Amino acid sequence: MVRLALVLAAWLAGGAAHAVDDPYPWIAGAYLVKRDGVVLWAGQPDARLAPASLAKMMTALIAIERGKLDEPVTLGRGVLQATGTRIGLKPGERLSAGDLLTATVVRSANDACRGLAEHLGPSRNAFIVKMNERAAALGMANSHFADPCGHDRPDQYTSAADLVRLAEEVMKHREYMRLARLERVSLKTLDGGRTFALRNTNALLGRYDGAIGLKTGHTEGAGNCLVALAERDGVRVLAVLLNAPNRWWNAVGLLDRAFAAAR
Amino acid sequence: MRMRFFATLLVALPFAAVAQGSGELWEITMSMPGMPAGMMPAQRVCQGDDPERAAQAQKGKDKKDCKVTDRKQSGNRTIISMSCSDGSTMVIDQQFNAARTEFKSTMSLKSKKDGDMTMTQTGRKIGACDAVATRKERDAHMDKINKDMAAMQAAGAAEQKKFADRQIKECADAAAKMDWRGFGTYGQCYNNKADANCKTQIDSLNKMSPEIGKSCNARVAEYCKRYQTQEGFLKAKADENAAQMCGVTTASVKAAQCPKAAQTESLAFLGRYCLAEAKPIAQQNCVGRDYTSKMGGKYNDFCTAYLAQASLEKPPASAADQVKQGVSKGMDKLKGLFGR
Repeated sequence: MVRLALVLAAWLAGGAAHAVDDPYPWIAGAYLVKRDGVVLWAGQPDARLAPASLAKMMTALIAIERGKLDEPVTLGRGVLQATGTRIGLKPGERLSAGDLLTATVVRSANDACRGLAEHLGPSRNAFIVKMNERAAALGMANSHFADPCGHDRPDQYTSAADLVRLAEEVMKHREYMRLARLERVSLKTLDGGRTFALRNTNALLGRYDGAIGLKTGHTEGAGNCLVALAERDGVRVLAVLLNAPNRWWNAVGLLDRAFAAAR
Repeated sequence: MRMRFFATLLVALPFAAVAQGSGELWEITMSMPGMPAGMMPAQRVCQGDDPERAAQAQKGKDKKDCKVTDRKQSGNRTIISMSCSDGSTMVIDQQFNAARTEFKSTMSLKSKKDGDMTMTQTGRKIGACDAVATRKERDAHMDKINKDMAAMQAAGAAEQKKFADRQIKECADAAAKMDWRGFGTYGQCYNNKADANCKTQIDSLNKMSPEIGKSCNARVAEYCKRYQTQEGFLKAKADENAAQMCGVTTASVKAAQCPKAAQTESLAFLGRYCLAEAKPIAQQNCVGRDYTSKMGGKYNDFCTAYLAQASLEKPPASAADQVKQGVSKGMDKLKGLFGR
């Protein structure tokens, strides 16, 4: 009897330790907010949902981990097939891998993302295999990638908790952090023939005090998605929102409340 | 303190006891119960006629706080009893050998302040010396030691003052910036003074400088008073930790201030913390505003704050259902595609 009580007490204590508040279940399909590495609030953190362009964080991670960002990349015909947000790249144009990465992270440009994935793959499908291998290595148990740039695919999904893992991994890289916080940037083809002036898709940059990044996403299947990171007085708050119709307002409200919450 | 006192005696006693002959070099070893051997190495002391030293010693005798209350001499043995102004008493029992080439001395001090102490000295004459030159050398050495000690004490005091000034400034800055973290221990312990850890920390800071506690506690009080105003609450960004420090809740501050903010149309406060009171103003001025749209004017900040906070509120049932239904449909679609 005593043993049973002890087991029960241990189980309850374990449960309590893992219990996370879900004060805003109505704001998104899934969300998770962390402050300085501690989860404050989460709703459906393990639900499998479409990632939209948040998948580009994985593409960027693989590119940064591989290095050689100065390498020239000659774009193939695949860039013409990219839909959604594009910067207008043309087959045969040459850019550095680093500039393709910049356009992928800052502008969420699908043509740049596709060109980068095909360069790193070396085919699109081979790159997708790499994405899933890296996801598995990160312990992203509720994620499967089927497109390097996050286009809706039947077998592509991720979760808020997995995206936090991925975000925390990219945050370790200075290059990603540098790109994520760029409000505007200008790129050139290697021959200097064309210039691309890009504005970051993250509306929090320049508007929200302490905003750093990290990635935006939107597709019809995924809805509005966002991985928001902000830092104030040395305190960092990371918020992941999947399918959040009011992602910007939600992000501002969540970040404000997270900064003010009791420690 | 004790060591310094005995060190003085070590130099003074043989001279006082011998006070005759010129230029005798003595090697003196001192020991105390509990003191490891070798902690006080043997010292060489030159004893002898030195008019200046004699004059100094006389001056010292006139000024000193201890008086000889009894003196017994029998052959080569001298027993001196002393009484000091702080209530302590001392008995010095010194005995020379017949040739006056060796001595042994025991000093017993009874003091309420420092407790009881016993020190033993042994000495042996090892040759001749120049008493005047040795005294000058020793005086110069002592001067240097005294100066070094004074400098060290001054440096220590300056460091403590610097630390206290810095702490006081940090508290002042924390109050001015409404950043509770700057109060450090004084913030954590403001409403927690009975806590053992707090007590220890505050006591040690007070020992260093009571001014720190006085100033920082006053600043925390000032902060807490301001925190409960609209201006202070806004500046502190409604921080829950600050509320805890001040022994209030953010809800209680909002409850007290929202009606006042509504009366005075304090938009900054209303937009952030008083959704119910702000709603009529928002309905008139914020409808259709997008986070990315260019805004301006009087209601810009109000609308941004209001819409962000309102976006987290539970929407009317129908709207909430729509979001959930949309998510659910998406999930079903995915599940269907996976065949589960």
